Amino acid sequence: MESFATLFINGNFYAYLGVAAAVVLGGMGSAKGVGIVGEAASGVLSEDPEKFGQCLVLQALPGTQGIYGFLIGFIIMLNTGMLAGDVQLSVGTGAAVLVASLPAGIVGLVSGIYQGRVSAAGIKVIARKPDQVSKAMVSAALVETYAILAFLISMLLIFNIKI
Amino acid sequence: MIEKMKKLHICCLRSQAEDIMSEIIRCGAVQLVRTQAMLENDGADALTAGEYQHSIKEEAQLDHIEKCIKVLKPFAEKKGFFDKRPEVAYEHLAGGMLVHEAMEVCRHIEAILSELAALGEKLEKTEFRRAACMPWRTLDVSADDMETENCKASCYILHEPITIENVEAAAADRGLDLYTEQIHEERGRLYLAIALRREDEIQLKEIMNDFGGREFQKENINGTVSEFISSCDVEAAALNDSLEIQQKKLREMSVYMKKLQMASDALRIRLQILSGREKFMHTDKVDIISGWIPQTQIGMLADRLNESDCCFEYTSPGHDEEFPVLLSNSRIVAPFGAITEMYSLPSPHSIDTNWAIGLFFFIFFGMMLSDAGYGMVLTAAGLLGAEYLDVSDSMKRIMRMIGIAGISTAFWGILYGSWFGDIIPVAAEVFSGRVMEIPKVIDPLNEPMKVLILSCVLGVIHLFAGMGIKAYIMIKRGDVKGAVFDVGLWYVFLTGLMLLLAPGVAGNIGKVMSIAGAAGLVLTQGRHKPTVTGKLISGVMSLYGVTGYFSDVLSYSRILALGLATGVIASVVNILATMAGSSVLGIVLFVVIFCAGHLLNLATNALGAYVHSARLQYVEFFGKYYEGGGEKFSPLKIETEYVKVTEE
Repeated sequence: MESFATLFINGNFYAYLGVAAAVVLGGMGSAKGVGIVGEAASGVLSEDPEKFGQCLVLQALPGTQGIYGFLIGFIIMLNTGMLAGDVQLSVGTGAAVLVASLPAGIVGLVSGIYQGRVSAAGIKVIARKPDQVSKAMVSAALVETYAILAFLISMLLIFNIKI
Repeated sequence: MIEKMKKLHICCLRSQAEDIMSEIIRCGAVQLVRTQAMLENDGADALTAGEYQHSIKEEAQLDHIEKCIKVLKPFAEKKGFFDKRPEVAYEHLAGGMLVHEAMEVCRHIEAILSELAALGEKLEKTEFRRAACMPWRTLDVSADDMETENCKASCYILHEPITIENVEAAAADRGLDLYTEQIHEERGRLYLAIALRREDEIQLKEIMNDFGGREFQKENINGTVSEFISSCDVEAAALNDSLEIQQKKLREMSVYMKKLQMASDALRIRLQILSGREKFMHTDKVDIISGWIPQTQIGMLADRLNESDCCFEYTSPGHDEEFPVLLSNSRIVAPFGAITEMYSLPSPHSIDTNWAIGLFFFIFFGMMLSDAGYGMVLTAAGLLGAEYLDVSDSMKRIMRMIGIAGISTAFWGILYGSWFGDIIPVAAEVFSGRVMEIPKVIDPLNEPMKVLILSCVLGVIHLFAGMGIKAYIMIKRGDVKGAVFDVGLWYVFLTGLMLLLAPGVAGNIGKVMSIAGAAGLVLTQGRHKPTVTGKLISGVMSLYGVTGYFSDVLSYSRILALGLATGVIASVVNILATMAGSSVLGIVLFVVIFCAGHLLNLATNALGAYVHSARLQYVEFFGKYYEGGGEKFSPLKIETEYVKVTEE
């Protein structure tokens, strides 16, 4: 039991948790968002397979949260030396890394899902007025703003943590 | 700029209207409007409205031809990615002969199709009968021998769990004298042949009813079952042969594909001409055609119309009259019109700001993607694609826009020292062991604050430009006072607030400017309110607008975020690509991962840069001044599917 308890005073553990949080939460948001749009898109595609390209663009939009999460995870790995396998972090630094990863992760989760819902609604625009698809894209991009802001904060925080 | 439009009225003999319409459609510069909507009331009363034009015949012909084109498509040669549509002279499409001949071809094809359908049906029936007989193939008694004067043999199909013993027991119960034989058993079905006396037949039917058995009908069978099966096979082979012959005939018809496609386009043009006719008004002998025409195109149309006997006149629209909007810009600015149109065209009485939209889109897109390699790829693909691919005009415009934006992408990429991410130093180290340094002006990964500040400064310039355009519109309309109060004072106030951040004298100037600006805004922003308290409250409330400006400026931080995302993903791709080292396998993996990874990164981030640059225009920039709602000028012009129509 003693060895398990030492986990919580190990800085590395928190840093790895940060990588996991950013990648997992962002990925979940995007997976859900992209999935919702995909379901809606199949309805249109069964009627008119020609619209695949347009549907694909809308479906790709909620995919960015996952990328942002992945990027944050990757930057943590780069900055803390996880890629080289040589990580020695104090508890304070590790916890700071974990907290810094949360904006991208949590906002990515929520905004990914909501962006997916907006994009899925945009699929209807493709069905009825395919020439107006870009308006649906802009609506979806408004949701993404918050994922971008969160990503930016996570990124700036991690860059400025002294390892 | 927004093209000046003229109202056009053409009066011509009703018999000539069709010729005039074909001149108009070839010109492609007139948007037809209902004459009724354009005339003054007293004129309209004397005229009859155009009747609905019957185009049922043409539509039916088009349906037939399209159906045949679809049928022939698998046999015709495929259109390559870079192939352009064939060019056909207008005169060649206009005559009725082409459609007539194409309809002849259609009749041929449809005859073949119905023959194919009939043969297919026959084949299906034969195969069904053959399949039904298959279980009985070991019954080696000819159908003619199965009935005598007193006896007959019946065939029954029973389902599990009924067995032959059940049948025999039931027959014994009723005292019947039967001979039963199991012919076949398959998938839980029992195939029985039963010989019996004719007078027992009703009793046997009752037994079979109880067991749920079904009698096998052998009416059409001559000879033994296996003989019948082989006769079915012969019949099917013959049917297959004739099917093949018809298929071949159909394949041969594909030489007429081009004719069908031309006829299809000819009908499309004809339908367009017919659909215009219902907008006319007419007297007994004269049609009046009305529409909008850009001022610059008048000469071209006049040349054409002078050849026919008709009279036409142009008038300018009234002061408040709405007219369709056509934007005309230089070759560099025009492609960015796609961004404006996506939102909404400017109102006809506003101004065209494509140059500003294009300029800022150019800068922001480049900063968001910011990679020299990607920029060059986009420029090459966009500009060459627009030149050599046979795509619609609007697609060409978007390609050109992306091509131009690629130049900015390459520019920012060079500033950031990013060439396909950091591929040059990474590859140099892995493959040759040398350390290379790419010259860069700013390193966004190490100095993100610099880029963030740059982004926000560009944002301020963008917003101030938008406010400036608003002031310009106000001054142009004679509201100089409004421009000073609504834009000038905000300039003073916001500049003052920004200077507050600076140290020393500039900070003091900022203090004075922001206080003066705020005071000015409080005093002027409520000027439309009737009471003094109303004026004051509105004035104070207007200062809350500063939060809007604050969030607007911060919104430009996405430029940094998207730029970082591109760069970091690119370097991730490069790390993955060089992971396998400098062996032969490593180099193969490098090429594959490099191409696929960077293509994916380019695609997602170019999409992101496009959408977010557009958003910065729509939400932040347009919010300051834009007056949309213009109706797009959509002239009647030749729109075809398969061929490109030329004049000669």
